[in-house]
Amino acid sequence: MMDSIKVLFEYVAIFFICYMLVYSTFLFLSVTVGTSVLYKQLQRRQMKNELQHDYYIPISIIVPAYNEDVTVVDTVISLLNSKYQLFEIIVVDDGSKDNTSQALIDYFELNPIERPIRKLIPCMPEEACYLGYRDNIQITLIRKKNGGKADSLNMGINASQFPYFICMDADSMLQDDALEKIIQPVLENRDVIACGGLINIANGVTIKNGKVIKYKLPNNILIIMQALEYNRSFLASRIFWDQFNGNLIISGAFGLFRKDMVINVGGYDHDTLGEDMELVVKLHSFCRSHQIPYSIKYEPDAICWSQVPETMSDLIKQRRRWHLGLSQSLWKHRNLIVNPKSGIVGLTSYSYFLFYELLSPFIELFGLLTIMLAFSVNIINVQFMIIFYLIYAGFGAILSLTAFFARIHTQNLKLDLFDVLKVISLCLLENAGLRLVIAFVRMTSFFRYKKKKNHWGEITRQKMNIDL
Amino acid sequence: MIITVEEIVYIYIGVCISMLIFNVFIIFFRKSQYKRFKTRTRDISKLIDVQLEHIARKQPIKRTIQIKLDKMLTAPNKLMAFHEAIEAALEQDAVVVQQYLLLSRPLFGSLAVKYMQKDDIRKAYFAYLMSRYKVCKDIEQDEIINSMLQLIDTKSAYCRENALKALYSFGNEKNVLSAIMLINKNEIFHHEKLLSDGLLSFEGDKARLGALLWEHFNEFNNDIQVSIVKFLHADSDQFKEELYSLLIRQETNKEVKVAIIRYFGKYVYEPMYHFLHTTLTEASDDWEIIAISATVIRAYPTPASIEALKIAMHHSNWYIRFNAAETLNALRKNYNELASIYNGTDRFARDMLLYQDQRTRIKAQAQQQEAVRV
Repeated sequence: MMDSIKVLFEYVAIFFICYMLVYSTFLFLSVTVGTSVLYKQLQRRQMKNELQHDYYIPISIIVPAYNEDVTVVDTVISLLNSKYQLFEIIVVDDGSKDNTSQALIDYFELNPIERPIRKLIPCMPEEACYLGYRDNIQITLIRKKNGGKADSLNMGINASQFPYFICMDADSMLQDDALEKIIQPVLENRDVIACGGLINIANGVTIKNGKVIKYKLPNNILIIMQALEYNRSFLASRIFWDQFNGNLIISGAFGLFRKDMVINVGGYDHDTLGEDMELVVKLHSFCRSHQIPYSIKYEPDAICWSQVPETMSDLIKQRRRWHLGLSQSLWKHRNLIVNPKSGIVGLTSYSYFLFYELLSPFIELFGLLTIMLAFSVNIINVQFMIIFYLIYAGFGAILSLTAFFARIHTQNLKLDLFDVLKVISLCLLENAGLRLVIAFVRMTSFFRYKKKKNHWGEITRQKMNIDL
Repeated sequence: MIITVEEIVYIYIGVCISMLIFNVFIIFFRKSQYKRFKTRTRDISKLIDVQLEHIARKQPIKRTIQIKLDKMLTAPNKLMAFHEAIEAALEQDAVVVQQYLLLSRPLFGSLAVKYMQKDDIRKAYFAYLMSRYKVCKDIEQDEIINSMLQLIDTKSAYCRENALKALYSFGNEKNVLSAIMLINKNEIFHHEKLLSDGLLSFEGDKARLGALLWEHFNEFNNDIQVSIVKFLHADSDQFKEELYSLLIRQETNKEVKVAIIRYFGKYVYEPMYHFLHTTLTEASDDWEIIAISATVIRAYPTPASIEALKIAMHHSNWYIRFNAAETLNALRKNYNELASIYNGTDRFARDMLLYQDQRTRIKAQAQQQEAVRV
């Protein structure tokens, strides 16, 4: 009996060593590549490697909103502060129960209008349309029956006039140069069909006329830990995947898409919680299977400031939603992993998201159970285990710090000493604490699948620090 | 060779320590780099000031300083410091600084050869400086111009764009033509928008550039042809006849046709009446051509045009109805003239017309309010 347990543990150990090695290597590579790309981008900016013109390609900006009366006006103001010259703003109010529509109507003096909307992709019917202009920029507000975020985005696509559209959240602010930066990959390469922007955490940041005038980390440790996580897991890894067209996610908070391609794939999926990821995976799948040359880019110079949950319960809600979205997207497009046409996307990106994102909570649970079993039969070297765990957490913490400071330096943001100390002291807690909590949340997310279907991820919004 | 778990742990520790060192190194390196940059800028400013004083006193510039700068500016960091110093000097006395830059053409010629050996980021930066300094103004042949043409054929869009900007700023139409010929010959993608906007920034004789581009028009691919038509659209009414004959040719590319029709929206040309009326009233699969015609016809406001637009209002294509309604509103036709649509059975046409009417009013109202605010 003991012998067979020992054999079992040997196999388990081999599996975990391989699993951790691959993950650590990925983490190391993504942070190294991400950091070097950020420094290269900074050098590019300093050496005027830019495609700057007065008139770019016209863009429709779609802002889906549900119960966003606290932030939606600020979001539209931040868009109007953009240096970009050719764009329209479409806010889609998905049947909010608060004063989202009224706040916009009052502030921007919008007028009711009978607008015919061509439904190229399915969405719930509109209840009312409003129109107004600020600095010659057309602002459209469409109030429709509640149908979820994907449905609102589809309505926005249907109502948009221009060949490219941007989707963004109603609690986000764009930097004044974000639009001209996000369109640059399109000007560089005709095959670009989508491009994601960099999402920075807005909590604690003060923005004036589309520029950051004060960058201060809040006292809430949950937000600081999320800032570290965003830089390590999202910024660095997306830059890494971008090197070989392997990004499977463009954040719903800020992304640019070619409208005809999105319409070709049927728009955003109503049945998926992670509609942003599902769309990108669908675009990969569609282009690969139809052998259409395409490129999905990530542009870290295009910066969007977005609010993150300030309480643990909001964070849990958000992560549950994300994990369900991930599982739905991967399941829906499972052909990517078996279809030889999928190439690098199927082989690496899809496999990574499957084994290191979707299944990782279960693998981690399995790891914990084997440790407990090993402990009970007294075949575990506790001292070694603790050292190994601490080194691993330290490894993750240092990578988080590297990615965080690389972003701070390359975006010319200034941190005071107190903020630096806060970040350094919390990076270990983020790796050893928050990661485990999130892993648990992801593991249990499937239990609430039915209840959560088609709902907006409701988190408590704060008024943004936007200086008019 | 079998790696033990302990060894893996040591590797991890090694990686952690290297990353920590890297972080600390980067922080201090960037701080010292900034300080050194400021010192370099000051040093170079002093050299430039000496040369500017010579020019102000109408004396020849000092050769020794130029030789020194030639050696220094081979380093990109020093070239950046030079740029900073020149920008500051330009704010003081732009005329004298521009004279100095023109006199420094041999220096930049020598630097051009050196920078062409560097990586794309540095090449693009050098090209950017040439576009700012305009040192080859009205010159046809030069080492710098050759370098800029060499950059057209690189993979980097930034190199190409900055080199094109330099050529536009030099103002020689033959060099711009050579660059576009290269893009065409080597089938390089350079976005049509960048090309058309760039041509508009040409600082030489735009009429001569237009004529030269037209002379070679048929040699270019469709993307470049579209850019050229857009350039002509912004700048010249001298190509009506030529463009019209291209428009009515069946084999002309659809995108090029769309650009030409837009051109005739700005420059009215008699034969276009017939073209637009026929396009709007006769059945065709080219909805893009009909849609743009529905917009452009507002420059040809005759009763026949209104009738053609009314027919277009019943088209099955959404964009055609949208543009036709927009044009009818722009022409400010009153209710009676459009009664057949308002009272007709085609709901799509009626809704679109109503929408465009409301939209025009809201826009006008917003503009009035904006004017009051200002």
